Amino acid sequence: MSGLISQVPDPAPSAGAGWLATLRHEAAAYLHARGFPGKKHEAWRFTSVREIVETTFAPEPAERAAPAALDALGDDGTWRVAIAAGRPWLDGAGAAPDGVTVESLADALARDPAALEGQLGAGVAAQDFAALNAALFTDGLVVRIRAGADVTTPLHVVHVATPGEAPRAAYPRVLVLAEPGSRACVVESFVAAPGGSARHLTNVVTEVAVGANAHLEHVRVTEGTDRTVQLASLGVRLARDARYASRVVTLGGALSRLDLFVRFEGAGAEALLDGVYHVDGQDHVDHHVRVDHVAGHGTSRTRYRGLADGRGHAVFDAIGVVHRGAAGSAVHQENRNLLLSDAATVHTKPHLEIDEDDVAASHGATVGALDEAQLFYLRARAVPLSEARSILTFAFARAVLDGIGHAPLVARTSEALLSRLPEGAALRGGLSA
Amino acid sequence: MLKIENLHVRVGGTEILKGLSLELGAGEVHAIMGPNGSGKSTLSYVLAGRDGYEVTEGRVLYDGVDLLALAPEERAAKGVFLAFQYPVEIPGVSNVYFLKAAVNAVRKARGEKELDAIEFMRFAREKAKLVALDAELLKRAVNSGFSGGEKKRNEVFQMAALEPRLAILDETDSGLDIDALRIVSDGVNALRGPDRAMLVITHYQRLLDYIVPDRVHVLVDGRIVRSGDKTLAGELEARGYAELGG
Ligand SMILES: Nc1ncnc2c1ncn2[C@@H]1O[C@H](COP(=O)(O)OP(=O)(O)OP(=O)(O)O)[C@@H](O)[C@H]1O
Ligand SMILES: [Mg+2]
Repeated sequence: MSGLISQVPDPAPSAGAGWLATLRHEAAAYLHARGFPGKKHEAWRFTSVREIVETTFAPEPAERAAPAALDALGDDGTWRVAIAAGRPWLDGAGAAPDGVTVESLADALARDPAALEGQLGAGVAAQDFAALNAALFTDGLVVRIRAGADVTTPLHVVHVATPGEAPRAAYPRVLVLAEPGSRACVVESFVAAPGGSARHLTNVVTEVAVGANAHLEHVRVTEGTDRTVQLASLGVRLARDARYASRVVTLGGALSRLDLFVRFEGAGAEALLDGVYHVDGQDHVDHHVRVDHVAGHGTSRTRYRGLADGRGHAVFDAIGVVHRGAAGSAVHQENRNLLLSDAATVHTKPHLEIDEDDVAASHGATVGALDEAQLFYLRARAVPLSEARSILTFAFARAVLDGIGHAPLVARTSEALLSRLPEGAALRGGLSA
Repeated sequence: MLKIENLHVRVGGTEILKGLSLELGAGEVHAIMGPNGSGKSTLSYVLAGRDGYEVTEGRVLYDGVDLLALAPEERAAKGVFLAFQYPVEIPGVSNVYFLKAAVNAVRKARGEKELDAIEFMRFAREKAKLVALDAELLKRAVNSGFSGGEKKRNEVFQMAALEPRLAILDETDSGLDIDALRIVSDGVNALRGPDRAMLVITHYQRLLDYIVPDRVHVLVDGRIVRSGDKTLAGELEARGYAELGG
């Protein structure tokens, strides 16, 4: 047996004891029975994983790349902990801010497995690549924000991929528990250490539970490279009156796929799901967003902006489901894309499934070029064409970036995007003036 | 400084300019008046280099150089400035950043040192004062949500900052109240000088009371049908374009 499936233990018919063993057993059984998704699966129609599925990845060796990667990020005023090779580097992190406990997932499961029952696996169903993670994760993080805590320092989880000379994979798992009435900002960054020539797969699952009346901002930044493959799932459950603001920034990658699931379990919750993505070269970026309004009087607003340059390929799919009984729900989806090159491709499909009468809903998608009148206006003021294009490209994306609640992160993500644009270096720093 | 010879221009397959000739010397201010749709903005766009304007005949020399062969940004770097009849809104780009990019692009082309953020802010505030532009507007996105008058003032503000050699003002007076007209005119007059020239497109004599032109041209149906001194503007206002014929 070779390829990705060769990593997954073929489960014996009788599962071991305990909820975790059952979860892993079922995930492995699912994968052996169903295999990985192919082009025939609607959700994978525009994103081929064949090459990845056929690759035999070795587990990433635990190297000390994490500290260097943290240093490379510079000081952005966040409290940081790195995850590399699927394991957290808590030693270097220092004490977590008041009101927060951060623990290795392996330790938490060893210490008190019952405490995570009904949490781990509840946000993301063990399907497709989330099943792979469920079968193979060994460690990760549990971030718990205590009830009523008001945490001003963003909690930053930095996922560090270290590509090698042969394909490597890591299977980290993160659990964020924002207890009732808490306020916090969690950041997940995905960065790659320099070097290596082979593919690196990060197969990550993040599960977030936002408790009653808790407010959580969740920033998720991927700086992909031509070696990085990310197959990620992020599942969010919202309790009564919870507020969740998601800012997803995906900058390239050989393949960066995110499946985001948001579930309104309590009434009156709100989810603002913002995203911006940029593809260039041979990048392939795919965002699938699914929002389930199960409880009523919730509001979800999905707003993604895409930039497609070079031979890049961007896929966006959103489904907003309002279940029967979820009266008073509002569900809005918008995806706007800038096509910056003839060879780039964008596939976009926001859609709704509404099973309730009392609902406010809207959805729309556009794919367009830069505005000719704006370009001419800049050029008529002596700004060279390529710089003018980058100014307008950045302006289009910044609506999302500026929404990030922590100024140094706005600056960092802006810089990261600008550094990918032609003449972008010349624009750095100045745009906020 | 500017020499337009027998210019024919097609837009979307229709001939709009039909053999327009005009000469503008250094230090001069010329006004162009003419009915709606006669081709005034078409002329200004062709001079600034907008795409979609097909020159089928004629030529334009700027300081002896073939202006039409240059990209818009090259023209601007050489000192050509168009104050737009309809200034463009650019959400997501602050006015001050926009102007900084423009000023530094021009300075770079002239071989001058680019201004850093602090130098530039001082410079921008000074220029804003000159045209009584509310400093708050510097921080806002370019022309986004600006009133009609604020947009026009912003154009003159940009002109004051870029100090062009050839300024084309396309109906910069439209939408301005009397006080604003005065301020804007003062800004324009401050820029007049022996080494500069201006082409002022307007419908109203009032502007020309403030910015007194050396020549007035009447553009009808893509051609200049009459030229005269500043008194022509008053004559037009009294009698209308119809009597001038084609
Ligand atoms: N893209 C286009 N396609 C076809 N015709 C056009 C296009 N742009 C302009 N025109 C036409 O060219 C003619 C001249 O337009 P222009 O804007 O130059 O007039 P103007 O003299 O500036 O008028 P106004 O005083 O109203 O500003 C008009 O009849 C206009 O409809
Ligand atoms: Mg006009």
